Amino acid sequence: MSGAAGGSGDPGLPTARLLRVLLLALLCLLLLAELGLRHYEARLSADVAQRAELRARLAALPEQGPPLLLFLGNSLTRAGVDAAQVAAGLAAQGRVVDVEVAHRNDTTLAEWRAMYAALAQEAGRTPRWVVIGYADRHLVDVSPADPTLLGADYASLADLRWLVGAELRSVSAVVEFVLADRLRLFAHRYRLRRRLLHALIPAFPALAERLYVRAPGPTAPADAAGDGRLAPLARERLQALAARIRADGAQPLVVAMPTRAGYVLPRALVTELDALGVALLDARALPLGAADFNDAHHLSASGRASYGAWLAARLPTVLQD
Amino acid sequence: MLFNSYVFWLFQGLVLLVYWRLSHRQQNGFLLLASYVFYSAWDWRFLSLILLSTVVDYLASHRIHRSTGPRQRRAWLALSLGTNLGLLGLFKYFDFFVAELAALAAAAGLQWNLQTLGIVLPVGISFYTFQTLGYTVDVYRRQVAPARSPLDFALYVAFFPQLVAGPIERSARLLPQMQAPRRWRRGDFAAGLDDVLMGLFKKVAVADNLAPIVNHIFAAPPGSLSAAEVMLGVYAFAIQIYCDFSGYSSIARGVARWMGFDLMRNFACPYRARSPQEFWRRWHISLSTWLRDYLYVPLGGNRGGRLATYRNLLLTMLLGGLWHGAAWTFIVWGALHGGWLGVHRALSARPAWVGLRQAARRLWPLLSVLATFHLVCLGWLYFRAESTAQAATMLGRLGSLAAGEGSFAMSAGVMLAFFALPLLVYEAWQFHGGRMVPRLPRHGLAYGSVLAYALGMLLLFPAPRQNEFIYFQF
Repeated sequence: MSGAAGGSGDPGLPTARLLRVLLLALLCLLLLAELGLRHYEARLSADVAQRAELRARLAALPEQGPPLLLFLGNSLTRAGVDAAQVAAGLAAQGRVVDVEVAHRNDTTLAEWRAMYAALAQEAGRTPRWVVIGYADRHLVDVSPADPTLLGADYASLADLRWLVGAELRSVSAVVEFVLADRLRLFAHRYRLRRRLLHALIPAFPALAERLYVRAPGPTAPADAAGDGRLAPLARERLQALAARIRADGAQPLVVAMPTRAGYVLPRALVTELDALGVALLDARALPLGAADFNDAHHLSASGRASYGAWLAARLPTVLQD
Repeated sequence: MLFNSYVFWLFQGLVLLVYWRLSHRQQNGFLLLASYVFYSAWDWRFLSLILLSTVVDYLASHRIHRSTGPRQRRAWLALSLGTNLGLLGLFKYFDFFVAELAALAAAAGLQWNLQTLGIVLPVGISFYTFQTLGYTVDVYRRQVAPARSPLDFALYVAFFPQLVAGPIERSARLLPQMQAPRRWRRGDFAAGLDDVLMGLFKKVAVADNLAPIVNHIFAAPPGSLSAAEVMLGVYAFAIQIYCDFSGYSSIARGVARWMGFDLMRNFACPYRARSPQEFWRRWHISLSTWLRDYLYVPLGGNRGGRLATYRNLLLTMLLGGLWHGAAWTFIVWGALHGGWLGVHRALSARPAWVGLRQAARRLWPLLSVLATFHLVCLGWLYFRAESTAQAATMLGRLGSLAAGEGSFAMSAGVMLAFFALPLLVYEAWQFHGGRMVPRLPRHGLAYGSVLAYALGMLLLFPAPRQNEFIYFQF
């Protein structure tokens, strides 16, 4: 192709007819692939399946029932929160609640507002409490939100009004969001790539672990202004998330989750949460050993049990009726 | 505004929508405006440098043309050279030389209080300054007449498809295209699409997918790498930089074609070269011919005897290395290429295959391609390394055949082959009789399959992370 010489009338040029045929064939193929993917997308990855299950579970919640406690977070919440255990623990203390856990890998504060808004809309019953589980930099991360993730699963074109400027801060991000919203092929392009590469290179998952280490997003210095306050973007995001949760009449709570390596809780974050009136539970000092973690961050089954018991004991002290 | 970003394609769509509805003069004005908008997307402040270069070279070229006395002509030429090289020197090299001077002084026990300016490098400055410099020299040599219209000349300097990473177009080739009305020719859209698609494929599906392998290896402590990993890192970078840069040039060519312009080809299957000299006839052709015509030949070329020729080759390539950036790694890269060009010239008096048996003679072309490719790869090691020390350590690991964990090199090697091999095979197939020629009937099933493959790779294997074009930093 690129090697072809070409002026107009060059017999080496691709004919317009061939291009038309090719583009038409490509469109047909894309359409077929899109339809197929819409049908089978739940099989693509655990994330997609979990999202579909959660949507169905939330929608099936009857309007009347015990108050709903929603955990929101990323893979730390996925590994660390056992809904049934927390519900049982709270019930044992006389608090009958429904517990749901919403998590998405690799998300941070940047995505959680849109995630919450989508979940609240889907739920047959509005959450009464929302527990945001975080560790280390997740609440001071000022990297842009992932437009594909938002477009594919947590927002629609109707949300563009508030997303543009707040989380979608470039034309590219907006285009990516719209494409992910409209096309499953686009939304799942990296999953498809991973599946195909895995099929071609059996050792690809191990290779990808090394090649695609997600660089930590830009973390705003917790005390950027030197006045004990968070960086403006992190502060705006926290305020917006808390306001969105409260708009539904729910109470936002934050839990600093335990990690194996440990981390510092920035004073600026504590100050900001305090100013917002958001209760902060600190689980960092939970006495956990190496066996309680699967890796440097994620809790194992035994760690999950300890953390669940801790949550059940501590939550009633901060849950407002 | 990257060629591989959605913003660019929105921009390009809007430009095309308006462009073909305008008259010729309006088209030029509109394209100039679009080019300035395109450049301002990076940093509008640096637009002033393009404007300065444009004004100075436009005026200087007319003064040179009108002046009859050689002293006056030389003075105006000096003004143009001084302005362009001054901009380049200030923005690209000042900090490097000051830092090196300070280090040298410190080593000598002197305490000089030399301050670097911490200047940001304006994107594309090396490309457009060389393009305008070439124009003024051409006018001085009376090879071209100065542009009559300042608008045409401003567009020649700032034409957005090739503004930030070339090709460095000659005024004799591009200016007439600016000056003459352009017509939409049958086949232009298909030809442009062909170039754009191939360029995007090279950049998005090949170069960006190899970038993580290269980055991973070159970010590792060099002493910890095995010989296989060093080899893999260098091979992957050789393919990455080729696909990255030739991909950019191809997109630029395609986009320009849609607006009725014919930009030069910047690459011609460079890794099929059988000698360092041939490599430079195939790699970044617009720069290598620029260096030949405006540096090597004025230095004396091959007219001053053997030693002078070697000196000129070395000097030209050293400056070519420095053109890429103010760092010792680029200087060593230039010196290596200068050295190889000299050695090749010395050896080529007697073809090396003379005296070989018939069977060995048949293998000679393949052996020369392999040898040239590996010499080029040695250069790439310095080009990509953060420092000459890193490159030397990596070379040491390679030379000592350092062992290491084999599974990473193996699976990354398979990944490299998966992304790069089909392209290399396709290009090798296109390469015939020493040049790139179309081997596929452009209406046939085989050609359709190639296009479908490129499109499929673009859709199914986009790199998880979009990278800037490597040559933007030069």
